[in-house]
Amino acid sequence: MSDFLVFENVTKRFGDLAVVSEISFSVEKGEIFSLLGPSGCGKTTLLRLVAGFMKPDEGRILLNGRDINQIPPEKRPVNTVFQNYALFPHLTLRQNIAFGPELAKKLSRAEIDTEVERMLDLVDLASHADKKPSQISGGQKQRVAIGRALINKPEVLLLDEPLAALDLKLRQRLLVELEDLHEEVGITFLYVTHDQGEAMGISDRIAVMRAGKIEQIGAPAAIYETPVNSFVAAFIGDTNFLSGVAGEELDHEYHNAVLDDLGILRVYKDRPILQGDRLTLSLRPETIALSRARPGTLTENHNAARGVIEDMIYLGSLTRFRVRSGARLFMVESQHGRFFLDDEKPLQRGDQVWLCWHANDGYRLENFSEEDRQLLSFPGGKE
Amino acid sequence: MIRRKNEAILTAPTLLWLILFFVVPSIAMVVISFRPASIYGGVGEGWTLDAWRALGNPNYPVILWRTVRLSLVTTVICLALALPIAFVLGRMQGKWRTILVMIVIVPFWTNFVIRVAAWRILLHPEGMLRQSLISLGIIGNDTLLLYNEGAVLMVMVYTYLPFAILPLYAAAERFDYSLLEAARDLGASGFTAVTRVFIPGISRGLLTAMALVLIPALGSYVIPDLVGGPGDEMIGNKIAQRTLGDRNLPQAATLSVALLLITLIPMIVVYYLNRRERTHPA
Ligand SMILES: Nc1ncnc2c1ncn2[C@@H]1O[C@H](COP(=O)(O)OP(=O)(O)OP(=O)(O)O)[C@@H](O)[C@H]1O
Ligand SMILES: [Mg+2]
Repeated sequence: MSDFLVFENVTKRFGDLAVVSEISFSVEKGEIFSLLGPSGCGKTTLLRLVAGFMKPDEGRILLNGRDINQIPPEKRPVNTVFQNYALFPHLTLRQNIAFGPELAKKLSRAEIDTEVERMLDLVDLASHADKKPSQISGGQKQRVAIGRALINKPEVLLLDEPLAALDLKLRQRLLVELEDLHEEVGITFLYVTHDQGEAMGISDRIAVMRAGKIEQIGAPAAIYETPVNSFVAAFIGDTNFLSGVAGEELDHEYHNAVLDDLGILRVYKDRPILQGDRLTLSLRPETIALSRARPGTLTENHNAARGVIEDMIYLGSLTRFRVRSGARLFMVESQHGRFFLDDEKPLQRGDQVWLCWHANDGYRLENFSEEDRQLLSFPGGKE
Repeated sequence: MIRRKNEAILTAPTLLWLILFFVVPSIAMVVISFRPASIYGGVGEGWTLDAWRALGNPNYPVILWRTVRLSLVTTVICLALALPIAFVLGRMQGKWRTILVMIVIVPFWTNFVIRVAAWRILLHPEGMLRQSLISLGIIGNDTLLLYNEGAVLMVMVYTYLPFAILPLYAAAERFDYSLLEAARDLGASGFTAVTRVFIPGISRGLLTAMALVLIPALGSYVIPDLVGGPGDEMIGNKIAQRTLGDRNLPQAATLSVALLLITLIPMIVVYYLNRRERTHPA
């Protein structure tokens, strides 16, 4: 059941550069597994290794217990949905979808036709079946590409940024369609994307990649809420990095920390730490609350800091604030600003505010690197 | 309406050019073919079917057939050689691509007749090539490399190959090679991917290449003249002989009209196929 598609110490080099280096992980049967990472981190390369367009320099890839390194692409039980769709321009949509079954020569002409019709219905393109790819929209092309791959009943469907070329609304709709489709056909999906929202939305598990290595593998919530390092934290959404030195233990769950520019605050201790060690917390912007008055009835597990609103961006479903507290900037997101209905005067640029968050929301990273700040919407934590 | 007008203005120079240098000479040729030959080498007065009757000479069908056959074989060989070359060139990047394309183009910088004459030296019975082949035992003492149909065919292929490579290369350069990966992903072997995806993908270039080789090949006369034997004459040689040797212009005109008609066939085919492709776009 599990460990369906296995990467064992896979390395791929172009010249001296290891584009994928010693990667090991496994994908379970039937899951949607995403490879997420910035441009050039080796996602497509990993996919192409599975498809068979290139061979690993070291290590091996197992599918269903079988080493597939020596199998040419046309013999592998996997199919790809290419980033640019790669539809055959000289063939109609119907002929594009029939391409695989016709080559496989397993079915009779009549059976192929039936299968193709069924697939055209599944991807909702029956009414365009006789058009050429140049005559349909991007979203429709994407569905042809999926239909053309799925009709071969691959054991793994490889999707290389299948939605990247589409606009936001269409992307969201097709993402839902893809998920429904996955439920319907029950095939394992290996899904490549550099869009964290897309990955979070569709995946059972995500592998976050950087520079040819996997940084963390886990369910979307685990990756979002408990990132191992500042790269994962910053790449998956926005966050605030709070660095400082661990202080005395308060009880078995909390300890104090002297955070740079913020003073002594309370920190959740999910794993042991020694007094005097440096630490960095990732504090998601939506976990911070803003208020004019000093939060009075705080439980002792809350932290508070004073600040001034330096900038704010109204984004509809939420408002994003940049709040200066001493020498550092916080990013805060608050839902539902109630700009017009609030009894209280809405917050404005220049207002004095209190920032307040629960100690449990600051997640201690295993590794912090200053340069990962560059991945944030506004990197300037300190200046 | 305005578009129409613009189109008319834009095509006017081409049209004028065609009328001046193609339609008018063609009509003149047809007219001359019905004139008697003048004994002084010009065109006589009055009308006659003499020139057309002369086509009944049993030599002509043989020569016409040879012309068509050699041209078709040349076209097939050129396309067969040019396809893999274009495939590789189109896939290449950067410096090497430029260098190789230059290698295809550079021979054009030398006069065509000089290049054919160079082959004469190369293939000459006393030439180095034949002597080496004989001493290596590859060919017999009595085998000639020159003055036969093989020589004509080889030099024709040599001459027209670039005309096949360049349009195919232009098409291959625009071809999206990732489609080949898509084909393999869907179960096609490397060869099937090429025949089912690459060749249809460059079909327009293939048609152009075909026309660019076949049409001038049909009109060849320098090549059979210089490297062929007496039995390898093509229709172009006859036209040249009637014009320059016998000064029988009506006879030359008749042969030219026949050649023109033969040449029109591939042109019409290419035009028709191209138009069909345009109305059912890829
Ligand atoms: N054929 C190749 N030759 C040399 N280098 C290559 C080749 N293919 C990819 N690379 C390099 O390998 C690295 C990883 O490429 P890859 O296409 O896997 O990235 P990616 O994660 O898919 O990025 P993107 O999100 O931009 O698609 C890049 O630095 C790229 O320049
Ligand atoms: Mg990629």
